[in-house]
Amino acid sequence: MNKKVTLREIVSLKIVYALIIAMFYWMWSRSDWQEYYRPLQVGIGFFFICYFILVSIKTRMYKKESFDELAERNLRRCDSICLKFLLTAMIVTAFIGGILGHIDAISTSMIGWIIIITIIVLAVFRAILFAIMDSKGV
Amino acid sequence: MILKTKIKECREKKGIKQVELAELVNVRRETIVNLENGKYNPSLKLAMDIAKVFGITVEELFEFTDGE
Repeated sequence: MNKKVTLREIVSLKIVYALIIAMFYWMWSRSDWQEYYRPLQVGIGFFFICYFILVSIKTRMYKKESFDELAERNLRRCDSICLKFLLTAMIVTAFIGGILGHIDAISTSMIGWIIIITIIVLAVFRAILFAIMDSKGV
Repeated sequence: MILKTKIKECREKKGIKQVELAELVNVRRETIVNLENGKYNPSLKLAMDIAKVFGITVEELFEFTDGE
């Protein structure tokens, strides 16, 4: 069965990129480097390359076979909302870092984690929001 | 100004289902649904493709009316 690739599928696949970035950050932000981190990084890096190729193929298939202008418009609107969400999150993070930094209540690593978690939440939020907008035809 | 469409009329006259029309113009069925409900203004290309399916002009298929 030749199932057509949908834009919803492509948007959802991007969540994995956020998780991979989080995995790399987890290893690099730690102060206790473990021996197994290097082969783990190589493995994740290899997975990332394969996954990137898969997503690129699916994106090309979508553009060739199932390009839909209404879905594209809905995605642009969704991205506009997500950009505002990201801006808000970054401003809040900056102020948290600035204010709590005065009393040494927050480390740069924690600020990094706030940013990484924001990226993951944003990727999931984008996929869910787009699915809702696209199904309702907003 | 509101864009009114006669897509549903023309489609029913020709005996074509929404999903069939969607496949003919290479969009999803949801896009045709939103077009018929007036919730979406199509691109010029899509408008011309749909008009071609029905054998009419774009102007006959779509018209602008004053908003109420």
